[in-house]
Amino acid sequence: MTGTTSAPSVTISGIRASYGRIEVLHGVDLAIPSGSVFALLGPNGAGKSTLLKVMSGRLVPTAGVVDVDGFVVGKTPAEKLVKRGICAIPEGRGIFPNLTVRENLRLWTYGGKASMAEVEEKAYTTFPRLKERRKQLAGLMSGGEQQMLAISRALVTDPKLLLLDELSMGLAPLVVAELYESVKELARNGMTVLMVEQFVTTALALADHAAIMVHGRVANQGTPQEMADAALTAYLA
Amino acid sequence: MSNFLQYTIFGVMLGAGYAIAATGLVVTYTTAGVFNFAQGAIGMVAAFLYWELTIQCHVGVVLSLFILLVGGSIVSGLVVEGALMRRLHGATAERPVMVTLGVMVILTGLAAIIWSPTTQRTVNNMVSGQFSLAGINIQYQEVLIIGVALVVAAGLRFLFVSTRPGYALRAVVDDPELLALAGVSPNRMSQYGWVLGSMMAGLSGILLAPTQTTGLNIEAMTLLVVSGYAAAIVGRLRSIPVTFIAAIAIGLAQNYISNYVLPHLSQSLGTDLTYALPMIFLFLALVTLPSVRLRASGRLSAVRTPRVATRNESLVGGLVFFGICIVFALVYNGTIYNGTTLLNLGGLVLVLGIVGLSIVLVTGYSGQVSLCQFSFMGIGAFVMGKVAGGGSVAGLILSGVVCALIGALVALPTIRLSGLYLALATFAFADAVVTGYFNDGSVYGGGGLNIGRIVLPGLSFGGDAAEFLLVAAFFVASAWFVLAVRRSRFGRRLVAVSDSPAAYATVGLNIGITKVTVFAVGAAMAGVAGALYGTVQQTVGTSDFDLFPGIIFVLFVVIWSVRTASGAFLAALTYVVLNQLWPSGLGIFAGIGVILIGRAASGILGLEVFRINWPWLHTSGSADLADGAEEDVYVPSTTGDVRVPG
Amino acid sequence: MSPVDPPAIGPDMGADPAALVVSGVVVQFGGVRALGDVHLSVAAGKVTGLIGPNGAGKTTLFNVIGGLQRPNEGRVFLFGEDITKKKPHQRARRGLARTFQRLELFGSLSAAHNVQVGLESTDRPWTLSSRTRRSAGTTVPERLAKVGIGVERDRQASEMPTGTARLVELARALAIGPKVLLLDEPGSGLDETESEALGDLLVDLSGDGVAVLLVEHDMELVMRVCDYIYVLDFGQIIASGTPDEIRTNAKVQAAYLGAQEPAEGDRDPSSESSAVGSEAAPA
Repeated sequence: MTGTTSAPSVTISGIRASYGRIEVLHGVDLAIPSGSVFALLGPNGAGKSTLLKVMSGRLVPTAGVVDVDGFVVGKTPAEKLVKRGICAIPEGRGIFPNLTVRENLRLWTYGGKASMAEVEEKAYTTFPRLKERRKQLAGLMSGGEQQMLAISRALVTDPKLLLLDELSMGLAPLVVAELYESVKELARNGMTVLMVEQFVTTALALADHAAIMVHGRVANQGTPQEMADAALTAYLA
Repeated sequence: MSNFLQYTIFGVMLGAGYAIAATGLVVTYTTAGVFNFAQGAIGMVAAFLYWELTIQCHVGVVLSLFILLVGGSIVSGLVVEGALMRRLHGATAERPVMVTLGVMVILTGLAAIIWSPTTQRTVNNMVSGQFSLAGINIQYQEVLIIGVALVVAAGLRFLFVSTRPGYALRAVVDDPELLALAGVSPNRMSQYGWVLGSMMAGLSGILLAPTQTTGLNIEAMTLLVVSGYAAAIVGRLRSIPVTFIAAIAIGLAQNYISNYVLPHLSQSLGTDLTYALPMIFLFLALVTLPSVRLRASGRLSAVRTPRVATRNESLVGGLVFFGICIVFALVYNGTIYNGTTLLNLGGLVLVLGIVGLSIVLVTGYSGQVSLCQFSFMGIGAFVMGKVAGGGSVAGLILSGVVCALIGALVALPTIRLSGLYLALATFAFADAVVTGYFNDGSVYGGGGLNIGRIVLPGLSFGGDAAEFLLVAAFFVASAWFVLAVRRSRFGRRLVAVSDSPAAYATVGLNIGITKVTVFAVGAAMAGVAGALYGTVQQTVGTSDFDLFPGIIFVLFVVIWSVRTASGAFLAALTYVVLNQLWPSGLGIFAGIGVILIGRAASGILGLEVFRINWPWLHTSGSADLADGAEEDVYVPSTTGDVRVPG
Repeated sequence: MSPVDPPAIGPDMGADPAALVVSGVVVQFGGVRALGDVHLSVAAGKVTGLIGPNGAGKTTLFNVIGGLQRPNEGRVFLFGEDITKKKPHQRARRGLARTFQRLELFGSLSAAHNVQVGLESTDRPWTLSSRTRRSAGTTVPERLAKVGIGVERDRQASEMPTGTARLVELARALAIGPKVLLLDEPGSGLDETESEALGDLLVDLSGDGVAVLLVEHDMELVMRVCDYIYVLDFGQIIASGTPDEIRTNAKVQAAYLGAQEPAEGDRDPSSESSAVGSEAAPA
């Protein structure tokens, strides 16, 4: 958390992606301003997670460009993108369940310069609960604790762009609030954050910008206030 | 007492050798998710190369070890991972088993060509001399092996528990995608895993080589570490400490049984059991494994299945085939090739074809890997020759019945396990039957067991042509049967249980019964084929039904097409022809073939070129799509429910 | 085997025992409580909805009912019989059928054969003649037609688009003649017309006396066809009632949209307990 990292702006244009023969994204355009917290909303199956997969190098798009401060993601494999400061925390499983908490934390900085002790210290300061659990298998912790551990990856690796997929999934709102508190903290330290979130109100309270995806396209985008009404229609219609 | 201590020391040493091989298996399994059947073969090659370097080329021990364990492991690890395993992403579950078996038969095949068995090769102890302790003699070599095993186990444990590369190695199988998101290349990690695994394999082979006091033997060295397989299974292919302890326990048990129990048995039984013990341990270890929990896979098996020939097509096809056989019999009656009549060779093709058809049924349709069809063949031949007194129809029937029963007995305890474990169990069974039973002098009478030609009232199949046509009739009937099964209700169930066990259970069908039934039917077919084999050859010998030829034949069926009757026939033809032309090249061809076929689920006949509507030769009409289209369709779900950790 | 009286919960069914009763089911995955003390009951002849956000535990509950997941605590009753320890195929033979959220089709078989395996599931396995095929053939197309699949029935299941494949899976589930039908998001991947037809089919089924438990994200469909709805959130039933009650329930809206102010902190799984009983009581 040096604060010297310059938060990048992200331009997504014309992204199409498919699984096998099924196209899921039919041309997505988005502009994420530098240093913003951007909420990506939308009902199930709208393609939000798929877009994050494309942005983090886990799925090669069939068309379109993801541009992170002049760097085109393209076919770059996920592990190389990490070194470019892109950190993605996938949906519901950002940890290795069969490693202990401590082992997970240490693994986050494989190949990095930080010592294993430094890494642990950093995470424990933000999430003291992880310190209590450090010798436990990560898979045996509560869902909230697992997500704390997952977010710790962003904490200890200091990325420029953070992609969060459904951080709140299956968690109680109190826990969610605590998690997003740490996200806010990260954002303040100069990081662009793109989060996919189901809890509309929570997400909009946190975000500077928001967009709603429906059926593999961006249906609406604008300020959180503007999106609040649109979200209700998109979800409970 | 001092005997006891002596046995204990030797047992621990043996166990330590197994432990090294077993931890290697665990390493490859935890990092690549693949059970490496070639582990023993890699050790065998390392032992031979070590002999070559130290004895033939007079290279120093330390330098030899360095060359083999560092250089050799890196080369073999990278070759196996990069060239073979990575191409299998998205292949059907049985394919990695087939490919590692392919590597195994390539290595044994090459070894047989390079190191002819006529030369005796003994490897010296790395350190000579011995010392006395509490009245027993302990060799330095024994201490060395135990020490190395301890160091290896401790070192691996340190690697996995205390270092970042170790964490990454443990994490890669669970979630390669997340590992990539954490900045670590998953491919790199599985390469490291294979290199480490090969290193352990080589080390165990080199260390245990001096125990082969009668000289290095390719097959014995390859199977030497099977006890290590058992230990790895006890460790659930995960835990290094448990695997280590299990390996020591197995080494001890093996040595105690050999020295205390077996001498009290009849001599022949005693010797046989000595050889069969490792396989028996492996089988027991598998039987004690807990069942695999049934779960929805979330993926659709998307093998483009060959069209099944209709009843009329298979009837016409069968008659045409039989007609060709009649012409063949008329034209080539009396022709001698390589000391055998051509018709006898043809008969062999057809007999093996029936075994191939049983593989189509068991592996192709219901998705279970069986490596012991040759053993059932051997049992069938034995029943025919011994129990029913040679060429009788009753013997033919009885051999089928006996094999069905034995097949069910093999399948019952292991079928509840997933594919890999069944493959291992059949592997163990096949070898245990050969070493522990067929080798017994009383079974095949040492040299060969006489089985006459079949005699029916008023009909004799003494002539080669008649015998050939009899076997042809059996082959056509078997093919017709297998195709009819595939068209039948039971056939749909076989394909269904293989595609989605979870769905199979939820429509109210019993998975276990279906699988055991098809396994027993397959065993019966192989048994009848064995009986027929006896009538073709008239004399059968011990080595006719060995583990390795059996595995090679399965690979040929996979190469041609494990889903079609024509695949079974072509596999048999290839096997017999190659066996005539270049017997030692069989394994090499099979191994290379299965590697080239890669993940194409329906083999050569499934390739684009063969997508012609041949009603008979293919049970297929439209076969697989070519490369690429055969990937499993992964149905994306953005609505995953609570993920189950671990 | 001895029938145990299932606890009386859920909507009032008068004297009839509920077709399916889930009682006090707890599923723990390591430290994650996927289901915490879930009670629900599904009446014959009714469509019961089960809704809730992602990760609420709906599929886990289906796996418990279907026998793919053994619960840590609690029991499942089918027509009054305790089936908690029965294997999946034994449950199916008692009339329980299901579909999967992630498709579980027999991918190498045609659509028609998928259904046929279900149709013949109670027949003995062996018959090499094609006679049964012909007689069964008269019903397989019917079954498929019922879910709206006609010409495509000879296509290999793995080659079908997701929506159609879901319908095949539904037809296969129906082929075993279920008395209780569990549907895990049958509507996803369907277009508007298909989805409407699906709704009609579900209403028809319940009219024939089948008990349907429906997990679905398409709220329109849920509100239209369900007689009663349970709302599951982080492993707990947080509300239940008729579609109108659910639509206006503040807790449900909060569960879907995320509460600004979590009500008195009772939604933390560790301290969760009270609100369930009172909310779940039928109006």
